[in-house]
Amino acid sequence: MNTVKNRVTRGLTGLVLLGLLGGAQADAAPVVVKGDGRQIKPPPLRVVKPQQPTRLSLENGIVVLLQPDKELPLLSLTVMMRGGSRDEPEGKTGLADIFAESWRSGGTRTKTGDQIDDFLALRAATIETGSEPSKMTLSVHCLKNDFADVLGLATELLREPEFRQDKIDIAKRQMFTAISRRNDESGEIANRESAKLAYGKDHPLARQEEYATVAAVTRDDLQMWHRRFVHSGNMIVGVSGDFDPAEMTTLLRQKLGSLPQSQKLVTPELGFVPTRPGLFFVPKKEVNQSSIHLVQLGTTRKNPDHYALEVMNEIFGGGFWARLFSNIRTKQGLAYNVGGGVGLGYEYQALYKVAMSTKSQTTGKSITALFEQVQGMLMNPPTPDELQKAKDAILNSFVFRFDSKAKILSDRMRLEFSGYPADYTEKYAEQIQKVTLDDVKRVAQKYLNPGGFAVLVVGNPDEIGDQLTQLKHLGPVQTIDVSIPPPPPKPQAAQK
Amino acid sequence: MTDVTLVSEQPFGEGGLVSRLYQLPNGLKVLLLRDPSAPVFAYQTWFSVGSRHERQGKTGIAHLFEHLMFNETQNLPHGEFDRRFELAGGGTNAATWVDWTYYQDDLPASELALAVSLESERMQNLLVRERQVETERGVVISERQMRVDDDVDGFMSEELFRLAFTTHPYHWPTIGWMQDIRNLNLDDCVSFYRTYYAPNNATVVVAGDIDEAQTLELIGKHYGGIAAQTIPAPASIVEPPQTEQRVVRFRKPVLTDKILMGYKSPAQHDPDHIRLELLGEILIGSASSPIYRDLVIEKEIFSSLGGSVTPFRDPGLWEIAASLHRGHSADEGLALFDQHIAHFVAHGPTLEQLERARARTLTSFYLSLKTAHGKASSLGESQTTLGDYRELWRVPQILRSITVEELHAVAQRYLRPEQRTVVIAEPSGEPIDEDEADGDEESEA
Repeated sequence: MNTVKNRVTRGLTGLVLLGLLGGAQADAAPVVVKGDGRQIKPPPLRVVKPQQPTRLSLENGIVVLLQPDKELPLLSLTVMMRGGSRDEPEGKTGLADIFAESWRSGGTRTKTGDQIDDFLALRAATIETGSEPSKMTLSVHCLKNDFADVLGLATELLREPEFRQDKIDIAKRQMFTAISRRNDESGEIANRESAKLAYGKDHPLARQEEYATVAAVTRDDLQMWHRRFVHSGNMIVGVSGDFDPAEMTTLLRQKLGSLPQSQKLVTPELGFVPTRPGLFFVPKKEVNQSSIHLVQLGTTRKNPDHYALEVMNEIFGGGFWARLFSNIRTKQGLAYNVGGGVGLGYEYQALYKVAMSTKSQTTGKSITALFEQVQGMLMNPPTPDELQKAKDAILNSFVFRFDSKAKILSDRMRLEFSGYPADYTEKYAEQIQKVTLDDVKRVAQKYLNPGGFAVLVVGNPDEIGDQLTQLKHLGPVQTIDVSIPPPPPKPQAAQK
Repeated sequence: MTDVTLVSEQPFGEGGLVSRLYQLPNGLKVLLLRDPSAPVFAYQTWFSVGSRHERQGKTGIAHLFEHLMFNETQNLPHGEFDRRFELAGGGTNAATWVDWTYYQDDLPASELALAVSLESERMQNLLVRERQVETERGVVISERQMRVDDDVDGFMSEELFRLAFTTHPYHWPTIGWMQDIRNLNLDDCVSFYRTYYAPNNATVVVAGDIDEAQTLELIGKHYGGIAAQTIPAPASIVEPPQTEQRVVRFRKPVLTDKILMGYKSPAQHDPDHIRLELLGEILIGSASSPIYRDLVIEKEIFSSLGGSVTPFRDPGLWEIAASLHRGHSADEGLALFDQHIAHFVAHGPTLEQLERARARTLTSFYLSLKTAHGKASSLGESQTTLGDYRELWRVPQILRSITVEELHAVAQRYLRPEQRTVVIAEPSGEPIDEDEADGDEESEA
């Protein structure tokens, strides 16, 4: 619950890279401060073999992964379950989030949420519940000596949550507030609306909660959701921290082993249709920067092309030396943020997105520049040097995916959850090594598809002027109305 | 090999790790912590220069210069610095704040020589050119528009410090005033580099899977020849005591009211700093904290509430940010918040409240030291802001000793309305532009 402090940093990781515009042109009088003329050689590659957790199954079907780590006297446990916003019934968008919020705050049969808060606060422990598009999690963090007590409480929450109505109402009102604030930031609008353009506005991965869909969620819905998703056949449990594996196994059998046995849950595959190309605009008068997102469907890591795509992404938009960065920012000076690549989801098709922010006056020029970069990957395919650099960058950074035992456990849980073989991560490096220049050229031709983008701009119409209408090859500008539908006449928010 | 002197050493926690501070003849401090738990290391360079070392009219130069440090050097063409780190699998970044600027590299264990080469290269061989200053100015202007002008929270934070500090350099934002960013020139940047980016104004921190002797040898070899400079002593400016509450309101494109307030807080070296942090944890730090529970969970006046005490060398602020639920005003929220504060100032915390917050704060402290990066950052910041890395371990020591009576006294000392500054953003109704918003400012004293 801390505020973000106003320190100013150079960069962030992820799709959007922040950084520097460089002086690409030579200047007459450089200021050399000092010098010794050293030369620096590029580094060799590294091979990483992370120490994997131990896997076991409890009698009731729960899969357990144990990762001892003695560094600090702390323990963490995560329960991962299939079931998320993609599984919400029609007209109840927001249900998964309300469930995750009121699951913990609504308490158990024997303890209210406030009593749970006090119980945990006294032990400097936390139990947190969360939901994502395809899964829910319940996480426990505590001091080693309190683990048995806190695990007992977590088991109670898994078995018999109470979903007290007052806490459901609070969760819903918090969502009402979030809905009312969802157009405050350009970036948030751009992320939300570009997902709707790529997947389709009613797709389970893109649809958004409204006052009415949140108001429609009842306590019965939450209890039904609990019966549907929170059972032993749908749980993967990971434990990391300072513990003895044999003692931990006994404790988990006592506590989580007491949950009734159930069948493994299988959720239906999601359907996808290609993105409808076009030029879309969300007017936001109070900003002086435009957020530009080019989006269409990406693919998954189950696709055999994904290793070659990973290398292609690195060349295209992977980092400070990649084409997007060096051309859009360093050479043309158009962006403070720019990044992109073909998304590779673990379970479903992620977004293929190329995104940047630029000042209003250079919006049209920036869109053209982004298309030139995508076209450039096809017209001027990657070179052997780019291929080697991309592979080096991917393989040498591999160690940071596993620089703590908790990260190794988290990676393994994700593989287990999404149905990947346990050695996927170790083989990943071998597969990246095998990617050839022809592979990268082939996937660039197959997936980059410059004609398939939905282009979204969120920006100031007065400052942008006619720049968008001049991009005639993208078709007419289609304005998206992001105004928020009003709450129902007597919203539950007012019932206290 | 350059002579390197061991200045001090201290156990790092109770797990057998030891941190050691060395110094080169040119004044460069080197702080090493061998921690072989993962095959990586963090390499950080902390310079004792931040926005507090700037002067009126030249604000933002520390941050602008941080950007310039990623450019060309005498031996590295443009882009090569980032490229080499990326090819080695590393990540590199930097940050500037009021008291310091730091550069960080996280790398696989085999890449120590690369880090030492590249970091020593840019400490001594950076090329600062007109063209680069111009392009980085453009980036920083864009950054300021994004972080402050287009961002309500960023705007409110800038206003809070502008209003709370009338004399001290904490008055201006680290990113700088727009007018100053536009006016900074090549001479300013060169002079800044020559003055502040000197070995005797820096601490190199290396934490992770390293060999200590080899690390020292490499650092001695690469940094030993860099000449020390005369570093101007920072002006000793004392902010005059605040004698009445300052309140300012803005109309902004938000749908519900927002509040950002700050009580004057002690400097980080003052034991009261940790006490005030603990007090904040008691009052608003968790779902079981009294103000959080009453105003966020039970009464649902605020949709969010959080705070922290600025970790500054000189006295700063206990910042508290709150967003209001629909149908509730900032004034209503503030009045209820103040009732809690008044009750707390009158009665102090209970022992149980203290013990809960103490346990949570201690756990957070240890968790922040889990990674090589976290260890290096904590050591570097303590050395730079407090003047001694060993101060880091005073935190758990003080935390364990704090009493109910001490916290009660701290509440009476710092939670005073006349020492508070409040920035309120209210919905504008219609989207409005920045100039218009600024024009709608209303001040209350």
